[in-house]
Amino acid sequence: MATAVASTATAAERAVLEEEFRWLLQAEVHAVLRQLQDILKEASLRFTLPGSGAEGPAKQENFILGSCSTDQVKGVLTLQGDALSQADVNLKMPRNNQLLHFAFREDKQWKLQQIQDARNHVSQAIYLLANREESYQFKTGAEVLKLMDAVMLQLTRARNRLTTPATLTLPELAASGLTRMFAPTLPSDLLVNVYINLNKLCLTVYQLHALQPTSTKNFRPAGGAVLHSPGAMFEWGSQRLEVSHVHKVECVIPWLNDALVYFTVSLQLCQQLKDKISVFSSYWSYRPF
Amino acid sequence: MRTSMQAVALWGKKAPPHSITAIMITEDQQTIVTGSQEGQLCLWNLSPELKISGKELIFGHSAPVTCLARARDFSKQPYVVSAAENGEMCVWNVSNGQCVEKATLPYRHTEVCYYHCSFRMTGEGWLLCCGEYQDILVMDAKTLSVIHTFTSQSPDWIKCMCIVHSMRIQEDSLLVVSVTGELKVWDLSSSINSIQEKQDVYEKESKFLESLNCQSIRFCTYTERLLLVVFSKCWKVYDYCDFSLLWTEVGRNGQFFAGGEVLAAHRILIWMEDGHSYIYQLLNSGLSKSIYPADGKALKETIYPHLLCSTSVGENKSLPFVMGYMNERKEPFYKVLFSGEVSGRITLWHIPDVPVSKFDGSPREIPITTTWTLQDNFDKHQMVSQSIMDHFSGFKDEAGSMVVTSSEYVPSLDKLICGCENGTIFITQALNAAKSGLLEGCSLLKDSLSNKVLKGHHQSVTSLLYLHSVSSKLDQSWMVSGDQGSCVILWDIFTEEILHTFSLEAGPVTSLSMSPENFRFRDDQIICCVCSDHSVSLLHLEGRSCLLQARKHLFPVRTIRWHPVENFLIVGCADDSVYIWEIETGTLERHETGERARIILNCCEDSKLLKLEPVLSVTSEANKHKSLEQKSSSSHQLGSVSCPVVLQVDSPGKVTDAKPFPRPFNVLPVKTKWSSIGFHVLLFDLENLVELLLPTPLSDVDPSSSFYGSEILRRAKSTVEKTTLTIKRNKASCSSLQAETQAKPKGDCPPQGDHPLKFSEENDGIKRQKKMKSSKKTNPKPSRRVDVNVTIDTAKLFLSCLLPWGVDKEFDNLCIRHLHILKLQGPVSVGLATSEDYFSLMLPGWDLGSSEMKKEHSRVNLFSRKVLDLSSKYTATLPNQVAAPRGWDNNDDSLSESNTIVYLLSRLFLVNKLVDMPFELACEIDRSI
Repeated sequence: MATAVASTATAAERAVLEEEFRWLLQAEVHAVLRQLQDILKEASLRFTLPGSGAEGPAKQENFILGSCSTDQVKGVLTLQGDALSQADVNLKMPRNNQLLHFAFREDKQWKLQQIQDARNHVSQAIYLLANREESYQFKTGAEVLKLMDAVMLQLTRARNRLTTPATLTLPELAASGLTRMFAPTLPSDLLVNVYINLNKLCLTVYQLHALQPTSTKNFRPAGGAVLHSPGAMFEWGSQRLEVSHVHKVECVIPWLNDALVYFTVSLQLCQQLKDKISVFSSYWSYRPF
Repeated sequence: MRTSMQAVALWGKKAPPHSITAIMITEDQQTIVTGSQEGQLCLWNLSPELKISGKELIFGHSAPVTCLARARDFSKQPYVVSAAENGEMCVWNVSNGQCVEKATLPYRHTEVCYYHCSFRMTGEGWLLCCGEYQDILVMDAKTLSVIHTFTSQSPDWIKCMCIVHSMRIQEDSLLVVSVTGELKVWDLSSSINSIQEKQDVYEKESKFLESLNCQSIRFCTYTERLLLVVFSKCWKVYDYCDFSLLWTEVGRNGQFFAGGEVLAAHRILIWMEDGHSYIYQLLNSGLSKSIYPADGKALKETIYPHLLCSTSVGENKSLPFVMGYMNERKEPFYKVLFSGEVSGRITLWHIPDVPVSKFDGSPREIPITTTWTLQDNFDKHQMVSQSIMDHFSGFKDEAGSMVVTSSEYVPSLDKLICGCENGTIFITQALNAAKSGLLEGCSLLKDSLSNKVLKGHHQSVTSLLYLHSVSSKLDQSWMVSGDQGSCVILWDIFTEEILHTFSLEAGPVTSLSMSPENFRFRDDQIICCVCSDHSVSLLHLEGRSCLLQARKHLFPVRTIRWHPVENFLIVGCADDSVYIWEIETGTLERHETGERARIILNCCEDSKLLKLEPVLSVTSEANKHKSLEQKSSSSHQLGSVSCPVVLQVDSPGKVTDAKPFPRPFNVLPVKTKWSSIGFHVLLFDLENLVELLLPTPLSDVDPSSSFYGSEILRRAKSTVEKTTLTIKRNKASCSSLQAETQAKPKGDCPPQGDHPLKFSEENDGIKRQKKMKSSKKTNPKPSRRVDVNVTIDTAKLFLSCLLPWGVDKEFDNLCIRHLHILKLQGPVSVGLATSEDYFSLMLPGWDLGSSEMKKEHSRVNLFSRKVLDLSSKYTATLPNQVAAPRGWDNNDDSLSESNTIVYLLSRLFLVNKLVDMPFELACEIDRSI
């Protein structure tokens, strides 16, 4: 049985443990923090921060979105840092095979809030670590735990922002600024949503048709969802609408994949450090600050 | 929490940790408010001589506090708003620590500014908030609802902001700096209408400041020209007119700026993350722009800083410091620089009106004026520890008092089980232990039979679970305890025997819980034991065997779910992954992450499992309390939050017969995060006490008003709206009292229309019966009756805590001799419950050094003054009774004693209700009378 950390440990054992704990606080914690910083800096490089670098505006990346099953929707989205600067969407209407094309207005950008939030959370985490330089002396284990908790909170949020797209209702989608981004303006029977899901940039196009007021269909407005399915109904203006077709296309953003891996690795590092500290918990926790 | 709930804190020798994350001084310079990483708020008295003393600790937030700000025009209402990491927001009345309004929104704020424009705005004003979301949120200061946002062309998180009132242009502006270092300016006063009509308001101007991590932005109101922007690596001065850069001061390596303020015209104060601060005079360099017009290429800097003074904290540095500066030009207020540390220390510097450097031009050091911690309060004022364990004479080890590492209160037995650092477990009568901590001449009997010591653990006991209170099917004598060395022992607490020892060989046991009622293994419920090495073990008590040890989890276990049909154990971890274990074979069935994991957890929630806080199944009130520290903070939109790493276990519900008996007395162990320091809170349910005591003194009570009857009513009534209910209730209790007590003075009971009241009571009764029938809530009534003696004792202890000792000697003696209400050892730390599960606890020494003015505000004092008033009336009538038949022989004595106590209590209850009554309701009653 692991009696090593017991209060019944002998004086010699205690001395050794104390020595070990001191080493942990003075050397090991800083080593882990440095490692964490390196990983997170690497992660934050993936999210280029506008105005920060001397390299000028963030570079543009083009992503061709498609789906393996159908080719009814094709999109080319241009990502510039945390913003979508250009978008070209081609939609083949299922009924008459008519080809629709619409693109972003030249003067506008659409901020991808998920990427922005993830980036900001990472830089917050880096900031938390940055002011505990080598010269800083950790005095108690609780101090390290608190710091790790704060860093992990930021990292978890960063990861969750990427893994959990916002669940929007259809009226929210219709009212969103994204629909107003296009030139020529989006036809009234189309809705568009762009979001990040894990490491993928996703574009969904909803085709709508109006429900006749005399329709015998039972009108039930759909709740919030990441992806609405055909048949979802909602009220917009004075009109009742129903989703007739849903087209979803996506494309992997390689650097988002890297970032997610970095998040996971650094979260594990944090947890391991916490575990190391709490091995000694029976020592430090009953000491005065 | 019901308002009739009264709390008394039993503080130990050690102050609870309070790692300050936010600090502010109220405008009247009488109170310092701090928010902590643990989630508690603390109110401190600030005397006119700038002496600090802790006043009360407020338990409200369940996550670290991120910011504090005033929430009203302070001269009218002393309200402060606090925001927490998990999106909770509360408005507090800092004069008494009550929560005025609260809301939980999916936004994490880092700064809040109060804005009110009296001539354009109706209502209480706005709270302008920024934080981990895009742009500026405008909230209603009264309702804490989101009104609208200030939107911008390139939305991003806002790091800091300030409101600029410019006399010159008669327009208020909002200046913010985003995370990317973009300065944005909105018109504030002229956009009030558009915001209220929910129109989009975009920024008027914006400019990239080319630095990151902005810490604060301040406008110089004295010159109306300079703008000070502090970044973590440098600070800059801008010209407000055209936002041209006037000066950049870069910090030394390894030093981080944390904030700044403008002291006076051309004089600024900058503080650092490590607690140092510097006062600079901004001197004109003579290169004015009129001489060297900016040609767009090189901006001529027209000022440079000269260091005048500096301040520093001593050696005890623990990062980071949170600081602030209070600039009051009105006499007799001071200019104060204040800082709060992670260690809980507050430091104040009195900044002279005109800071000057030494004669030789070198900077002068401004000395620390005051410094204080919560522990200082405890050391100074807490002469006698009230902690329950400190009164176990004979059980103290050499080092002094025992450290309690875990405790549980068993309401059905009125026992408090405490596990200690050295592995022993004490079981004691909770009421006696509380009495010995609080009262004079009431030490715990050393050889009392009710005290039991269980010796079996060799390391500190980390968790306890009394099984019968979780599931009534289990033996009343069974208790399990887990220790630091991952050893779990099953005890018979009546015989003090070890029934079985499980050696799990995992980390320290962090929690013990039981499988739900609907989950059975060979007809028995099983124990789930979570260890700090993230392993989960399932123990089968009847079989004395360990069924499963699940050890593959990489992150701390957050949730445990049971799948009765498939016989699965579902473990949710802090990294949002899910592990599914097959209990029968002990194999890992599946491991899922991300979206799928979430779906699995949600599915299991639907499968009719009762979600409960862990091992607690005392009254629902206590459960709510427990959730103070246990509530896992998950903000919906931002995803789950891991900061207060708390285990949330689905344990068996208090199903049907396990329904806890409402108790007038309860002990709530409170543990703080990241530390072992804990204390206990005694909860007295005044309403319940009165209810229990009322029928007992009279033998020929009407059965309808007997205990069980009133119990049914009480249950049903809790469904009726609360406010109306309370009034009716207290009137009812009052009128019934009228009939019963003879010694009641005629004058002091408010005259009341009995007929309409009785009518409404009857009406209500019928309604209730109907309700009872329709909703099949036929809970089998608990068969136990509360011991009358225990109830009387509880009442006595409660009265001891409230009576104004030392005011009237004669009265004191009367209480001690005839009523056997014992005197307090020292001032008691009363708790004040505010809305639902929020409460504030007085700190030791809260009563000292308080000015008269505060006495008027503090409701606790008001409360005891009422008691004083009533008791003097009571004493006036008492001699008559004594002069009557010399009936103070034994039987009569105890009867009249309890009669008096009941009477006093019901008066208290009435007063409490009256004081608590919302104003409008009070008016209504006046009219009806």
